[in-house]
Amino acid sequence: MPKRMVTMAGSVVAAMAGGWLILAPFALGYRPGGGAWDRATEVDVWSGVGVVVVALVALAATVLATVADLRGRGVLPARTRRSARSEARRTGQDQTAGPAAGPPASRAAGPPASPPTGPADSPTEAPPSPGAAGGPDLRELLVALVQALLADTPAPAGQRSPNARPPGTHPDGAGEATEGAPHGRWRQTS
Amino acid sequence: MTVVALVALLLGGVWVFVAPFGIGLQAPSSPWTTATRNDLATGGALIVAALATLVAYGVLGLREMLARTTRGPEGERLGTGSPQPPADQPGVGG
Repeated sequence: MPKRMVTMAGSVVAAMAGGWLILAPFALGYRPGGGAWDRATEVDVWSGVGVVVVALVALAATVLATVADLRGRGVLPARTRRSARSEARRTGQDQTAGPAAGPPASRAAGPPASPPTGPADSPTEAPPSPGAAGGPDLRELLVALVQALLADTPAPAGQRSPNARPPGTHPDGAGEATEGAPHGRWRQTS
Repeated sequence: MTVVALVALLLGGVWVFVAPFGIGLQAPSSPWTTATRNDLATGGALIVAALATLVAYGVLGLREMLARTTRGPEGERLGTGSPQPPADQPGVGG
């Protein structure tokens, strides 16, 4: 990490020197009368542009490497929302490019006003999976939260609906063993 | 990548330093112009900055390498690995 800090400091100093090279002919008045650029002005300006570009490239590379290192150590979040969105878009493209890519063409030949026939019509018509929804963990967390709230909310006496279940049971038929573990990913494996 | 950029900056500094004399912007017998003095100062600063950064980068990299070597494989794993939960982590609420 100190290595990268030194590199960043050196890059910033070099970028400032390059900026000064660009500005110096105008600031110090190399050009008599302010006419066309003379040779010294051209050399300084283009040398300054090159120095600035190289310094900024070095600075960007160092910053990117530092961010990747911090992500690897867990200091920064693993992925940004933008990268998650791009990954979700890529996942969606993979799903549509898979074996389900054929049916839309045959459906396009049918009557345009016919509604979709349901989930069995095409896998591409299915609701987006948690992995492709942009918030994969948020959906699971919300489902778990709603299930826990429903399980803990006491119904008034005499107003229990016929579908009400005793507290501590799971809606998918599981009993006390799955209490608090609404998703298979979080169940105890040992 | 970093070393290449630093070497390029060093070469750029050398170019800025020698350009007034190499291209013929500064006559050898006449006194130095403002442009020549500015190029010498800026080029010299660039050379010093790039050299100092290169030397510090090398020294710090060598120190890191030595520390990793003396720490052994366990220290290397601790230094570079990302936090991973244990495989048999109990479930939520369990």
